[in-house]
Amino acid sequence: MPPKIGVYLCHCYGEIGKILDLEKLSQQAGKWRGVAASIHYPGLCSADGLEIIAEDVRQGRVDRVVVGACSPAVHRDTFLRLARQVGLNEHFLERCNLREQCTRAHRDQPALAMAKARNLLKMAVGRLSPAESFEPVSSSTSRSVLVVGGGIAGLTAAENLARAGVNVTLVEKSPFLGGKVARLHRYYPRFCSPRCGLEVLMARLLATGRVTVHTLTEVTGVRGTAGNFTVELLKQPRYVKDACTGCGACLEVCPVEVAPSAALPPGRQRAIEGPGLFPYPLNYAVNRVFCRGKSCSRCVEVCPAGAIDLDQEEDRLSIGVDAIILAAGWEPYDAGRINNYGYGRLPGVITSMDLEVLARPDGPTGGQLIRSHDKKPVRRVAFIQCAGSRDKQHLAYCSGVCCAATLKQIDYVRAVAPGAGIFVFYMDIRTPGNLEELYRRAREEHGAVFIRGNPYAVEWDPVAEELVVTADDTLSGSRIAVRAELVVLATGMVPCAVPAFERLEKDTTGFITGHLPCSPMEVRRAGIYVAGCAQEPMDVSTSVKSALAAAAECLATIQNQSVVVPPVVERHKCDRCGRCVEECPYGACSFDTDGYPAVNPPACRGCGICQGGCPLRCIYLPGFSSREMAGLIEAVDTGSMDEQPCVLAFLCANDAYPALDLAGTRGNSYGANILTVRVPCAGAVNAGWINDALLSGIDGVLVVGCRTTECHYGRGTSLAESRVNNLRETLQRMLVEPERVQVLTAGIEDGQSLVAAIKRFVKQLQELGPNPFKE
Amino acid sequence: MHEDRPFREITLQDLERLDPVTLHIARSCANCGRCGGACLARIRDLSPARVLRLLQLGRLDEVLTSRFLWSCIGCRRCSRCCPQELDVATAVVRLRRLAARHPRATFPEHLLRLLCS
Amino acid sequence: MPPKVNLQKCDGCRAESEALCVQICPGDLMALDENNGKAYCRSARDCWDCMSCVKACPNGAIETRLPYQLGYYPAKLIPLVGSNKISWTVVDIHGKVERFTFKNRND
Repeated sequence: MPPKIGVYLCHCYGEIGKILDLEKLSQQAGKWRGVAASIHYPGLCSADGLEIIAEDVRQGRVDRVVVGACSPAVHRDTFLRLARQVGLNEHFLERCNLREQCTRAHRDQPALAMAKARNLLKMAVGRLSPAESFEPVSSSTSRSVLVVGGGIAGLTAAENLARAGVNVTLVEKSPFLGGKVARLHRYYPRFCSPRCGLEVLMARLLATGRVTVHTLTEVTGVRGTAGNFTVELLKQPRYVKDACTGCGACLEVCPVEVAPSAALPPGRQRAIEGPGLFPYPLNYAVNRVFCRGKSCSRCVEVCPAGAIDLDQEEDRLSIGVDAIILAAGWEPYDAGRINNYGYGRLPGVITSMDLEVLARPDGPTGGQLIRSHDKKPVRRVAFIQCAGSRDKQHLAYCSGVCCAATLKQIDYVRAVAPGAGIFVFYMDIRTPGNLEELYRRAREEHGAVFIRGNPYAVEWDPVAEELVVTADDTLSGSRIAVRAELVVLATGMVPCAVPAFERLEKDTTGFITGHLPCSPMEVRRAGIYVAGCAQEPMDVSTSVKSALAAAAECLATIQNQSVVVPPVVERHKCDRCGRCVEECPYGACSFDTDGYPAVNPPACRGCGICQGGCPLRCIYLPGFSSREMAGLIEAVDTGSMDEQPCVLAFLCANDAYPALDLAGTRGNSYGANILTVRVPCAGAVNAGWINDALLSGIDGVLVVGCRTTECHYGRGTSLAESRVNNLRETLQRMLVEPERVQVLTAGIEDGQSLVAAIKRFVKQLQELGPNPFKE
Repeated sequence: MHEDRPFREITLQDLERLDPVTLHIARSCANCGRCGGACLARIRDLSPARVLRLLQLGRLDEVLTSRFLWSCIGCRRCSRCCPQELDVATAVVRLRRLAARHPRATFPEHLLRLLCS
Repeated sequence: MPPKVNLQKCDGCRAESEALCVQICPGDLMALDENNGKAYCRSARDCWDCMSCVKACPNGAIETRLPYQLGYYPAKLIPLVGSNKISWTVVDIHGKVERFTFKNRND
C-alpha cells in the first residue's frame, strides 16, 4: 500500500507565516508523490491544531505525518503524545524545522528561506515515504543485580534495590561486611558511631529477603551486557562453618597475634578473626596468611560447636545478573612510600586510618591515647595533611576528605586527652559547606595550631624520645619545629583494584568514572554502575548519596524502561563483519547464536555509532535505513540555491543541532543553502549517505559533532573523523576535492562560531566550483 | 646545618599570659589576612594579621616588642572587615597592656614623656 | 590487471571467514592472507577486471588498473557507490577525467 503522507505546516502565529508563503508551499507539497493531505494552520501545537492532525490519522486519510513547524527540540512531547494517542507509530512522525533553522535564521532573505523550506519539507517527505514502522523491542529480564563491595556504598545500593524488589547478590572481598566505615571510630558531621548506621542498613537489607551475601569472594570475570551479564565468582574458604556461634573461645587460644597495621600493636587481634563491633556475618574467619594451620589446630579442639574446618576449599560459582553496581571502595595510600615521614620506621608515626583504630574502644589500646612502644601518654599530636597527596610522586590529586577527617580526629584526641596540644600542618584546609564548622571548632575550642606548610621531615629525637616535625610556616615566613609524641599522616584515598573490571574507562586519577555531567553513575559499559569511593574520593555521606544515585540509575535500566529504540539488523544483508559489535561504546551489540549481530535493548543508548560504521548499512536506527536516507537526500533540489553551493549538514542532536537552532533564533544567518539533518551523534553518519549526497549533486557535506572530549557517547566524533578521512582519500584518488566533505565540532553554545565555520566552508565550496558529479 | 635560619620550636607556654579574650581572638583567626590589608597604622613592622599569626605560634615576645602595637590608631577597620567577626582591634589594644610591662618594651618616647610630665 | 589492495586501508573486513571482496568476486579470486589478515588476489591472470571487489570494499582499499584500455599509471577507474546511483570516475594516462553516473539499486 503506498504511503499516505500528511504535510502540516504551522504559521507559528505569524512568525513562520510572515516569512514563508505557507499557502503556496502547502499547495506545492500537496502535489508531491505520496502526499495525501497538505494543510497549513496558525498554531499546530494548540489543541485545535493537534486535533486536525489527529482527526486525519483517525479517519485514515494519512498514515504518516510531517510537521513543518518549530525545531524538533521544541514541543517534542506534544507531538509524541499526539502520535501515541492516535496510534501513529513514532517513526511515522517527522518534524521539519521551519522556524529555528529557516525563518528565524533567514528572516532577511524570504525568497531563499522559501526555497530552503521547500527543500527541508521535500527531504522529510522523501525520508518518510520508504519508512517502515518499528515496534519498540522489549525483552523480559529476571531483574537481579550484582553489588561488588560490602562497604557503606554497596550496602546502601543493595538495600535500596532490594527494597525496590530486585534480587541482589552482594559480594565482599573481606570476611566481614561494613568495609572501611566499620573501622571508623566516629563519622562526621554528627559524630555518631558508624556501626549504628550500618546496623540499621543491614537490618533493612536482610528484612527484604532478597539478598544473597558472599563474603571472602572476588569477581574474577564479567561477560555479557546489560540485562544479561554472566559473572564468575571465586569464593575463598572461611575455614569456619555456619555452625559458629560467635562465642570467641577460639580467639582465646589462638597463639598468632596480628597487628592491625604496620604502625600499631597487635592488641586482641589474632589469626582467627571475630566479627568485631559490626557483626555481619557472625561467623569467625581464619586468616590463612597468619594461621599456622593443622599443626596448631588449637581452635579446632576448643570450638564447642565444632565449626572450624581447616580443610575447606575454595569455591567457584557463576551467576547471571541484569546489572552490576561496582562499589569496590578504596585503600589508604601506602604511607611507607613517603620516605621522609618515617611511617613504619619511627614509633608514633601513624596514619589517620590507624588513629581511627586506635581511638576505638575495641582498639589495641582500648581507646587510650598512649604510645604503643613505651605506653607513655600522648600530650602533643601533630597531624600532617596531604601526606603524599597533591604530590606528583605519590597521589597527584586531593582526596577531599582528609581535612575533615583530621578535624574530626582532633575531637577524638581532645576527648581522651583534654589538654593535648594539636598541631596541623596543611597546604590548604578544604572544608566545603558545613564542614567549616569543624574547622572553626578545632581552632576555637581545641586551640589547634595550624601551620601552613607541608613538613620537610619527621625525625626522632633519641634524647627526649619524641618526634620532631620540621616545616616552613609560609604564613609567618619562619621555619618551625614541633615536638610531638604522635604524628598522624592524613593519607589520601586510592581506588581498590578489581581485576575483572580493569578494562573500564578511568579518569586521570585512576578512579572509574562515567560521563560526569550527563550519566555520572553509569560507566562506559552499559549496565555497570559505579558507587562510592570507586568513583572518586568521597566521605561517608557522599558515598551514601552516590550509592542511591547508582541504584536509581540502575533501576531504570533493569526495569527495561529504555528511552531509545535500539537499531534493527537486516540479516539478509549482513555479512557479520562485526564492526558494529566492535564499535558499540556500550557493548550493547553482540553476536547471537546464529552469528548475526543482535542489539540488547536495555544496554543500547541509541547513539547510532553502529550504523555509522556498517559498510552494508544493514544495521540502523529507525528512520536511518538506507532507503529512508536515500529518499531524504535525493529529495534535495540542488538547483534551487540561487548560484550558492548546496550543503547538506548532518548535525549531532546533542550539541550541534541546538547550537544552530540558537544561532537562528539570535538571527545569525548562515545562508539558506545549508540543509540540515538531525542525527543522534556524529558517529551515526554513514559514509554511504555522503556518497549519496555527492552523487545527488550536493556540493558539500558537513558532519558536525560534539568536541572530541565532550561526545556523550565517547568516540562518536573521532570515529566520524576517521571514517570521513577514509572517504576523503578515496575522493582524492578520483580527483574530487576532498575539502567537499568536512567534520566540524561545536559545543551547544557555539552557535556563532559554528555559523562562522559554515560560512568558511561555503566560501571554500564557492572557490571549488560545482560538484563534479552534478549532471 | 641551618645556622642562618634555625627551626624554631613551637611552645605555647607564653600564651598563658594572654587574657582570655585575646587568646580566643588569636585562636579563632583563620589567617585570611584581610585585617592586614585594612590596617592604616603607619609603622608596619607587624600587621594585625601578623600579630595574630605570631600569637598562634606562641611567639608573644615578638609581638610585644613590635613597634606596630603602638602605631595602631584605633580606627577598628580590622575588626569591621574580619570575616570571622573577631574584634581584632581589641586584641591589639589589650596586647598593649602586656607590652607596656615588657622589659624590652618599645613604648614610644614621646608618649613616655607625655605620661611622665 | 588484478586488483591491488592498499594494505594500510584493508582491515580484512574483520571477518572470521569471508571479507566482502572475497564474497563478491565472481571468479573466487580474492582471499585473506592468513599471516596479516589482509585481502589479496590469488590468481592475477584470471581477473577480468569486473570491479566487483572495488565497489564492495567499504574502506576504499582496492584499486584496479586497466592498462590495455586506458594506458598505464596514472590511469584508473574508481567507483563511488550510492544507494540508488553509482558514479565511475575514469582517469586516463594524460590525467584527463571523465565521470559517468548511472542509476541502479545497490542495496
